[in-house]
Amino acid sequence: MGLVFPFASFAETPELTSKPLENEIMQILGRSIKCKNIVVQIRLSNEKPNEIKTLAVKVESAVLGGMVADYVTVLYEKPVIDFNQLKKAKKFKIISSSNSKAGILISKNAIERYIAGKVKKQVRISIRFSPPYAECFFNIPVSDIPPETLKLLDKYLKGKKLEGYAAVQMKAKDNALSIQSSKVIVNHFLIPDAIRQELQNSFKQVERIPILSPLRYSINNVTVQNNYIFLTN
Amino acid sequence: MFRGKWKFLPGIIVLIMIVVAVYVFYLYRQGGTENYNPPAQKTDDPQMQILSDMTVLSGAVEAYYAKNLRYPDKLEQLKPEFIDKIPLETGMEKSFIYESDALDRYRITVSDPSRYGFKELFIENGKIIQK
Repeated sequence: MGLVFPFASFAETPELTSKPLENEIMQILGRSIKCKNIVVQIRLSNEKPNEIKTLAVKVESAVLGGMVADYVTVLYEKPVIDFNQLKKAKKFKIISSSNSKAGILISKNAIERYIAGKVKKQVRISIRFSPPYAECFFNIPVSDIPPETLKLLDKYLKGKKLEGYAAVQMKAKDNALSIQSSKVIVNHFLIPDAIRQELQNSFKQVERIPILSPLRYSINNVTVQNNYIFLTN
Repeated sequence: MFRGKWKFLPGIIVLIMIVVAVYVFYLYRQGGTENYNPPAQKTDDPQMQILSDMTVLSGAVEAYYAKNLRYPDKLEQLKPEFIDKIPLETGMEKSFIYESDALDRYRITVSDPSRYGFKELFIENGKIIQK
């Protein structure tokens, strides 16, 4: 079936003009992707007028699971679009492309909103980006901390809260984002490396990065920039 | 009370207590809000530094594209949204050479690759080329 599709698509490839096709794809994507705005940019090949040189899709304020990513952009080089699906079923599907590039920008506000949605009201967490680190400032009531974490930190407990700081770095592989702490301070004590490592192991440190269907990407790289976390394939 | 082979025990215990107290004091001193900053990242190796700087710049250019669907015309456009400061070539205090056609291609290169032990050194569309 996979072999049949490209031929069917080529055979039924309409006379390409970029604007109407951009609008059509934009409308179709708009039905399946929760977001604020979608921009589709198509550039046709100069040599072969019926060939798409690049197709870029930018999704603004895209809902990625529980988080709203500021921008999700996927660039396909020489994409082959399934025009059967596009015209008849109003579905957007890329059959193949010579190369593709995905980039997801997530701001500190988006992360803070995501965390706020996951924790209780009394928990205060703020984020700062200091490339290549993301910094986290926290103030968490002891009652909201898992017992196994408390066990590791019992020497540093004073009062009824954990207040402090963490500098973390991130790694991504196959759409899984993992976080590694490089420095942790709790209640005015720098946490020694051995305990920090144990803490690291006790947490579930992997977050899945959802895929915006029907765009296809696999995130394998993450960098912290001035205003964003930037995830790429 | 402590005689023979045990005569040093009190001294050893006191010494251990002092070491622990000093360590705890050190951890306490390092835990003030003035230490709420990430670990320093520095390398003395110019080759590592130039590769790191070029990778950071390239990442910022790619992020600019993800937001604007075009590459910047010049590196200064990356400031301050994607990068705080445009790094200069290590040991040269010269700007990196940046070329772009805005839509398809960009390249970041150094003025003299041999300075860093390479015949060729550039990043094109996110791919680092070092020979």
